Amino acid sequence: MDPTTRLQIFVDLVSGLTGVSPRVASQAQAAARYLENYMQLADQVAGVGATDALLTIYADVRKSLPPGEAAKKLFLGGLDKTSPDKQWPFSAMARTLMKFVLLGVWYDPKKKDDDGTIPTAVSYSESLVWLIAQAHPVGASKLAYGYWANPPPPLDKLIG
Amino acid sequence: MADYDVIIVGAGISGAIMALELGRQNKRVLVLDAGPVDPNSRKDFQDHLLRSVIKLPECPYPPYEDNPGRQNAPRANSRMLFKWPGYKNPLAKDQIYSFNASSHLTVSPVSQLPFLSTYERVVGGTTWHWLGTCLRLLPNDFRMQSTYGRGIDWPIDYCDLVDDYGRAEYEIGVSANVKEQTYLDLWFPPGYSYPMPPIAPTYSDNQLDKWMAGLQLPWLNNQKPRMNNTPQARNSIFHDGRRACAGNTSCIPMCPIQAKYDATITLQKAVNTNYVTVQAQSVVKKVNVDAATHKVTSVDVVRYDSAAGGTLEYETLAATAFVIAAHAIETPRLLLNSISPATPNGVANSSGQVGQNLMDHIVYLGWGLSNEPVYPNRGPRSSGGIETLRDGPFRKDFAAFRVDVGNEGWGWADGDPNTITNDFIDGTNSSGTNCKGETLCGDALVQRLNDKLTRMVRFCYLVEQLPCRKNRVELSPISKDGLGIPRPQITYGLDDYTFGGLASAAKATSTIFEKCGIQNFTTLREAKPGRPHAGDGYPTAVDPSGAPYNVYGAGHIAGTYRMGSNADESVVNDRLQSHDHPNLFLLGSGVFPTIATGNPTLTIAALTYRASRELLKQV
Repeated sequence: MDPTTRLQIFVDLVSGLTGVSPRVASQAQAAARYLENYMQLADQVAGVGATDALLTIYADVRKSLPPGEAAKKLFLGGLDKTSPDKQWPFSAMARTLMKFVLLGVWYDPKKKDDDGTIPTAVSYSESLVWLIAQAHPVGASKLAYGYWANPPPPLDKLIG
Repeated sequence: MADYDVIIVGAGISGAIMALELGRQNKRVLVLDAGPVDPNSRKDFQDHLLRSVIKLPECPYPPYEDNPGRQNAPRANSRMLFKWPGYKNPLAKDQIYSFNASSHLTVSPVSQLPFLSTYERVVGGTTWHWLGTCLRLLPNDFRMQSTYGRGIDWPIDYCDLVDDYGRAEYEIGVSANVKEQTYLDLWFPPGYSYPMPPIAPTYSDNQLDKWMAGLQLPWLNNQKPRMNNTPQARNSIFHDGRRACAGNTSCIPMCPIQAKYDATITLQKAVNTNYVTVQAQSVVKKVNVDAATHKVTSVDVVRYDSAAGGTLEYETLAATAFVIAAHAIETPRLLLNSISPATPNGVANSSGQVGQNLMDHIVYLGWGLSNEPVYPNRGPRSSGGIETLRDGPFRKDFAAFRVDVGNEGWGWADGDPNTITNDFIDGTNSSGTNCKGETLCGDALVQRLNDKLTRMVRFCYLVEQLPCRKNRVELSPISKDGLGIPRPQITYGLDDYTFGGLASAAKATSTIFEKCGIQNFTTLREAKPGRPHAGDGYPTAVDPSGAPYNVYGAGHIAGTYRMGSNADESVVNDRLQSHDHPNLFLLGSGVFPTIATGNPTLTIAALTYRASRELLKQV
């Protein structure tokens, strides 16, 4: 898979799985390099090409479904029959990816009850759940004194 | 002539303030600290913070491993509490030995609980990870025995400390408003004002105050809980060369922009006098006393160059006077380790009180979901609390508390946003909010997470503990650190007075939450599925009726070298001077006779000013 295509599909998949817009997903990806980090970690677990396999199957489904529905089909296990790694099927890869971009945390699928690791500081400070919470990552506010006295901007302004 | 006028052991807030006061009077001062210096850029610490999945108070700071048997300056770590065997675990007593193998703070076989709080061993001390709460103690906090027949009285009262409180507030840089801090008999000198205006309350604080208006708590003498802006050691304006708070919500474990005060600020001012030298990575192993004069003559120091092992240099350093400011566990550890023919029970310990009366504020957490959004995780970690419940005649019967109202959602209570996010992705219900076991993605996930994460409320009750000799720090007879110094051994438990305060806190949670329309999600945290015994990982205290409480420490370690007028019952006098050794001063909350109802740091600082005047008479 060529890098440009891979990146486009990845951003589309992240958007579909997490509900943030492609614009927001793309910004987070540019800062935190989630794709590169995920691919390195996931391919260590399931073998070289595992991430491309996930993106390819998603891209196939996307030809006939909008991103939200395609992502949901993947998430709910509708594409698991074609997973090359039955121990870590596409639906589980998708869940790990969601946690990776929402929280910045890599939960190793091979470790039971893994407490997780955060590969880089930026993985955490760009993680998407904080936008969904209409807040900011702990220890990484980009705002100035006093902003907290008033309600935040509407959710759709933050993730849309 | 001695090498220095004064040697100070410990570069936390009390050591730093003492060094500055002495340096300003042209006294030659050496400050020794067991830990490393602060890095050139606090970004090094911030990176550790950001990369920690569980953002515990210690996570930004070294040492980063738990290997106290090999490390030269190990420290306590909250992470260890996750390894504490559960209260239902039939093998709990056996598991204490494995707990002790990897915890700097070991536990004696008769201890009910591990010690629940931690501290830093790094230049700047625990102010690196403190919240920055700067409450004054209440007048009645100083006279618990004479007012309520509980604990003991301090040898000083609020009047004796009021001016030093002001000095401390100006050195630290406290943001608050006098009018709002005048409650429960607290008073201020005419014309006094804090150095900075109050920190803007969070949206959550304002909403909660509106919702709880009109409520009375009958069992707390009909006190009316209201939100009160907390005096905070963080800048509300550009002050002392530092910028205003940017609301990172990470005051604990660290402020990435140093809008929150830490002791490195005062320490730098002390160094700038050109009379103060700071020597890091220098562990004081023993305090030496002259048998004839009873004066302290020198300290034995070990300098190290790496966290574990490495090259060690030994030196004995002399001074005219000595200050030990190593907090309420390491200070008694050093005193007790300083045995000689002149000091057979350890230095400053003719009373036998060194290490006794270990106290903390016992934390009860209450958490829930409000009806309307309160938008946590925006602004300081806490900007307000409920202070009116700190005192009243009920203190004759059970412990009082103050309530710190958090602004980090359920971050502390439940590990959020991680726990709830995992729940709605995996269909689990660890947070208690996913009863239907939903597995969601896309817009549905956004809706559910946003709905929960914007309505999270957390109350932290800081419950009093009375002094009790059973609760103590001793030297471990078995475990040593990398320098061969015995590690601390803790014996610790709660009495009925504190359990009464915990029950009161639970009742206050239900009552206030009900009035505010907050759905109470407070629950006893027990083992994750798959762990061998229920309760493992959450220290739990069980009251005499069998009711279990998850308990946490507040980091307010106190009482282990208390002040008093009677040399048989206390370690230092009311100027923090050792009863036994006239040129030795002991600083920190170890001198507190009772834990009181306020966070201790401001009082630690105020008492340091008081001690500095006495010390300056000697050098």
